[in-house]
Amino acid sequence: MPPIRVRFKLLRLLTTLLASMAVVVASAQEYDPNGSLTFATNADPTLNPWNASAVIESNLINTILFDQLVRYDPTDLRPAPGLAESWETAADGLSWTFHLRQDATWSDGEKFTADDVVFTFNEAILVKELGANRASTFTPVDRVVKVDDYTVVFELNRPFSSLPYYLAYYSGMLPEHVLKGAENPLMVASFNKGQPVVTGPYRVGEFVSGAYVKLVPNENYWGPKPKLASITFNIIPDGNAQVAQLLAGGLDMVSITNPALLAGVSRNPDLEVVRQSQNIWYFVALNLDDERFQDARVRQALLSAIDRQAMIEAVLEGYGVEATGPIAPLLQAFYETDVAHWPYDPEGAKALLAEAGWTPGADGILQKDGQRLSIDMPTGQFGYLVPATLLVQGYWEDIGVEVKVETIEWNAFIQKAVVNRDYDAMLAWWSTPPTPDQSGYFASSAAVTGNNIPNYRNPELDALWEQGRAATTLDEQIAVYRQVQEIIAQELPYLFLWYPDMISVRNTRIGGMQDINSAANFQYSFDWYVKP
Amino acid sequence: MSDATASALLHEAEDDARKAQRGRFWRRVRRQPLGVIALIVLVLLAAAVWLGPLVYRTAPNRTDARNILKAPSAAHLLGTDELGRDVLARVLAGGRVSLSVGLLAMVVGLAIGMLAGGLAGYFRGRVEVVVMRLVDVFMAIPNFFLILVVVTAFGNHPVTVIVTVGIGFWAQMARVVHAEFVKVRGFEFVEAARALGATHPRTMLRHVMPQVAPQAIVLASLGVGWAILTEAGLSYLGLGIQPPLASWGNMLQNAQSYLWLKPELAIYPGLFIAVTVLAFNVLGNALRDVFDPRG
Repeated sequence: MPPIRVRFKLLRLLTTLLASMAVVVASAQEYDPNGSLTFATNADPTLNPWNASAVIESNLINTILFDQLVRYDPTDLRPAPGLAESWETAADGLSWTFHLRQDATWSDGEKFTADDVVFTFNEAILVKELGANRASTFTPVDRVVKVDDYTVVFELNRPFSSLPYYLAYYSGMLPEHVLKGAENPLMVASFNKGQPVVTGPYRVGEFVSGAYVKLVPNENYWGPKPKLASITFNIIPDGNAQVAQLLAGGLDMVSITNPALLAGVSRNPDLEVVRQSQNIWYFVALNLDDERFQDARVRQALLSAIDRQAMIEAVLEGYGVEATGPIAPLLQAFYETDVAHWPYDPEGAKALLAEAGWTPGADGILQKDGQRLSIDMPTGQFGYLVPATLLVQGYWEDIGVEVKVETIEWNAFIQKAVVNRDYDAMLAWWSTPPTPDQSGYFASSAAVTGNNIPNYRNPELDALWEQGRAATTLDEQIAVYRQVQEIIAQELPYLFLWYPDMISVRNTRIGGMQDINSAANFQYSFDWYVKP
Repeated sequence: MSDATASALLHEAEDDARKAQRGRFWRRVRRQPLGVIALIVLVLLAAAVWLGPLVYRTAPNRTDARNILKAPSAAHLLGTDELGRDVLARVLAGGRVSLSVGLLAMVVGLAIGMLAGGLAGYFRGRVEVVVMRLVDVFMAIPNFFLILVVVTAFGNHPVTVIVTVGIGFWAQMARVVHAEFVKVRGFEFVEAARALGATHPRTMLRHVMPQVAPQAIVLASLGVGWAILTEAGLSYLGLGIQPPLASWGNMLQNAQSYLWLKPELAIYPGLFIAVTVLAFNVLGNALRDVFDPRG
């Protein structure tokens, strides 16, 4: 008998152990049903994604409120189903068909249908006079046609293979049944500044202008049941104040604009720093109308002279990755690392310059045919442009280049360097849509007046960009953009510096967030929860 | 002949008066130990920023991204800043810029103020009405905002900054100089000089100016302190002296982001601004007491 009792005891011990483990597992998956989150935004938001004044202060809030036809896949940012379940492009690339979900409803109970998509495009975005936000990115779209209640066709005037990417880029759908009668559907105050009718997992509960916007679960949401009781966005214009409130526990998550502010954050065990890659690349543009820079070897040498890794440590506190071209690692499907790299090598830079005919003159400055390698480098007061410019100046002086830095007021800098192209070298950045199609920053047609700041002209590259836009399959696109990246890394139309990380700091009590980038994270806000 | 004798007598009388004044002056100076200390501090500061670089030869604008925010060492006596630049070299270079801007702006303000106030007080009449109303207009506009507007409109080249800060100072100067001129021009020795045929410029410079000078020196001394503070304020707002040139004000601005990490970056330029401005103000007050005949 005694052995049995022992066995029984053992069994009981085992069962309790198993049970307690089960409790642990279960609680790891559960969440606090009364959990609420508080975020910050820098100004009063405008709750209409297409209103031209809805920018950085509104984009993420609108991403929660207004579902899009297409979302980012949170693993690689490829287009993924949203309000549209699937899509395909015609053989000639001149139209795209989108098949919509049949179970989606607006927060007032109305069904979401093709009419809403047609309205959002034909009567808002594509109406030039309304000046909708980002309307210029949809210029290849002529109009949107309803096939049946749950099928729409985008009719194009030229191939636009990156359309699904743009539809995932802050492109929320508007309710036809609410805004139809309005003179300007982008300017309805009761909607934009009050209680918009939405398709997202949360709707507006309360909007106190200048103070906060409180979002509550949308009872009519078609997707998974939201796990938070509310999400409040407090309006706090100052970045320092946001960090101070985060440290005090008043905010759950903050985006950091100046990495120096992280010093106070790292000491707090309740906070975690999240690094996210962005579609942003910093660069030094050399004015290619100046014949001194037309030799690619000079550009390669000037890039090799810069210790980018040290700059990333010094200026970005390490929150960035050396750039090889315009396509950031975030676009995993397209980013190509197997291209020419120009690591820090001042001796190699001098050798390259000597090969190109630039040798030290009597004053120590490099010369060629009586011309001195003296560079005017204007810069403007914004972010870390001035310190980064000063570091580049130091590196170039090390290899015998004279650099005259002039710091001017921001708008004057833009006017001088970007509008008038009145510079030899200038350091700035481009923030681009999440697509490899970046022709606007390189095409010959964008030189002099467009976004091609260095005035780079290369017919071979121009043709490749067109090929990329016309490509209909992903494999075809990947092949084209690989070639693009190889040419760009060798030719260096811009001297690529780094892809900065977007840094956000959040409380460890938050669960269910997508860390790839904030746009994608906010598209899946129904997954967010507060740990019990 | 009689004119010359009278003139010689007049000069003799003035010289005697000056000798007596000089004796009183030094007695009064001895009663101002704080002022003497302030003067010594300023001389030392000037020597440090202008002669220091001959001894401490590290380049103030030399960046080094691999050695940022370093603690003091033999190579960098006060450590390095956020771009790896030597803090001591920058404090000295910044001091050169800040003191130069302060002194030159004061000279600009003094020159305009003396000329305008002098002419108005000496000639009176229509000149006085026009100049003094203009002074009133300038006094009615808050100085710092006027300077902000001018710098925003005309850019922030160091010369613009100097002239602008100087202009912010001229009206006050003009008012004081005007009042002194009005007072002194009624004195008998001025009338005597005029009667003896001295020209207007000679009368103003030789006979009136020496009487007005003490007041002007006092104001100028206070003015330098004010000009240094104004330049620091402008540079702190990013509108004054622009990088890569260092000034105490823009060093403070840079240090702002690193207050958590390295507060010394703000403390050094801040301390130098405070000590310099305090020294100029103490000196100004001491000079006022020294020159004040009632003192």
